[in-house]
Amino acid sequence: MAKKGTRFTGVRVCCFLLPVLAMSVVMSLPVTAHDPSRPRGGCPPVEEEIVDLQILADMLADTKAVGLLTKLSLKKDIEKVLRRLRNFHDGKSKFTLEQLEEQYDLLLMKIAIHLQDDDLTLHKHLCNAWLVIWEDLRDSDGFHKHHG
Amino acid sequence: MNKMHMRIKFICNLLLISLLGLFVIACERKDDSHEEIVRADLLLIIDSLGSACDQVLEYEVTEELAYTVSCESGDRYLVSVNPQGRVDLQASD
Repeated sequence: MAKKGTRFTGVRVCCFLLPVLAMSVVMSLPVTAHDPSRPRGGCPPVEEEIVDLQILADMLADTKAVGLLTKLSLKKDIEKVLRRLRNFHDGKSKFTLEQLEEQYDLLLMKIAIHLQDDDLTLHKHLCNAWLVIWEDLRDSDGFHKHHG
Repeated sequence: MNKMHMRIKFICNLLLISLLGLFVIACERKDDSHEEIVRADLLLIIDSLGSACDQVLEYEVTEELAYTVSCESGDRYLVSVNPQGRVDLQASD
């Protein structure tokens, strides 16, 4: 009898523990790169997220991690990508949205290289903003709101 | 003498303005093709990370934000962005 009770309690404990265990496993899985809330999977958290490429450009202009000539070159690259996106939203682009996304990714890679060792705070912002800014740029309304 | 000096100054200014104009026109040249843009950006990334390349001959997108790049120098690289947003460069066989 006592044995039966023990077994019954064991089953109840298992019924309670298994869903909890399953939930904790699911929650501990890495977030995928396509999750808009965590752009590239493992970015360190920031208090305030950058949502606009222009804000990132302004922060880049203020950092001491990048030399003047590199800043000018990156500024020009940012303007180029914005011009191509403006043409796209105006229906005058020779590039597809997929190509423009690749060009945007390469731009952020070029910026990240200069920050990843020398300005960790701005690099953290860039990492978190990577996908958020793209979502804003690809959307015609969002683009015209911030860069009209 | 003063007139001559003024003329020379005028010609120098004219030359300077023409050179600036040419510089602006050169900077505003038409956009390259998408492939050329990607090649140029990958070359810049490899250069910035301190590795030799000369020219990007071929590149292939292996996954999101990851490229294998073949250079004119004979080197091959894997350029990628890790989940922390860090750009990594690895020599590839």
